Amino acid sequence: MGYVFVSPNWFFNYSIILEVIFAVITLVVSYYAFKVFKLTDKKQAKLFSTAFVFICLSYVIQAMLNIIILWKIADRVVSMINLRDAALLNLFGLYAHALFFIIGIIILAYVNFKVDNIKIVWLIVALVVTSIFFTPNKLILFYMLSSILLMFIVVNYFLNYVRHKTPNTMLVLVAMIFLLFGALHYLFALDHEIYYVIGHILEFFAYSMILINLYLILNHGKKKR
Amino acid sequence: MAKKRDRLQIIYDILKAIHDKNNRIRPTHILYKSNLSHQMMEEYLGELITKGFVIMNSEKNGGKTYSLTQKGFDYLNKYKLISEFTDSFGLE
Repeated sequence: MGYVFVSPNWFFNYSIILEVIFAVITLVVSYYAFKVFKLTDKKQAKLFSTAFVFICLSYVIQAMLNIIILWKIADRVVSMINLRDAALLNLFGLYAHALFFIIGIIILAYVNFKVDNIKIVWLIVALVVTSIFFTPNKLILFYMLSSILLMFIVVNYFLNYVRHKTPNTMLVLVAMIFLLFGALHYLFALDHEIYYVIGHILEFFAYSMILINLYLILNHGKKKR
Repeated sequence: MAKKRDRLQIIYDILKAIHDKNNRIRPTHILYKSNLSHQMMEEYLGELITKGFVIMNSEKNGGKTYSLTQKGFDYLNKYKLISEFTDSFGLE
């Protein structure tokens, strides 16, 4: 019996690097959102920061487990048992990534809907997590639900762009569209490894846009009003 | 038609008014500078005091004035960052 990794072998190292980059960018966004919360006491900023902490953790866990796999493979001659362990770790990493990422996305969707009842988040998290836990096709359901949530988020960021029509709101909208297509691509990545790579590249574009937006904000913020 | 001021802008205008009056301002001046109704101004000031942006001082003549706290000064300095961050990520 073969043990199939979701990521193609040649892309494994690159995927770790990308996951570390995503983790750093999302952590920076979370930090600034928390800073905005400290300055304004806006609950939405705190929730936004929390959402990005979860998204950051999803990448940290995934990257860490993938690094462990790399060590395992590099340390010894790959026996059948080692390969099985590595494949299981890879899968566990994906599940952990899925859990944290979807919680982050749910909180992000909640922030976008501008409702004031945190119980809604708990309800959606409970529904989503139990559904994913009990389904045999965990990853397909995860990416499907992520795509649905991201569609709602994209619509809200489109409306936000229409309201403000600034380069910053455009960047965030495009970033969310890339994230949406990234999630949609993963649906195919389960069968075709190349889609996993495309998904990572789309995510890279998304987080780059978010980083550029943050850079523009910080750069403008330095100029006196 | 002029764009409606959002909450962050109103808070900024109130804090700026206090700052521009050497950090000691009477409510009537805030009312004039912030262009709010008396009731709205009271609500905003109450919130700003609760959240620690502003403190109320009792004057010897029985009147009251308002001053910025460090948190209030920080808000003024970082307003542009706050405003662009909240706008771009839809947090307003």
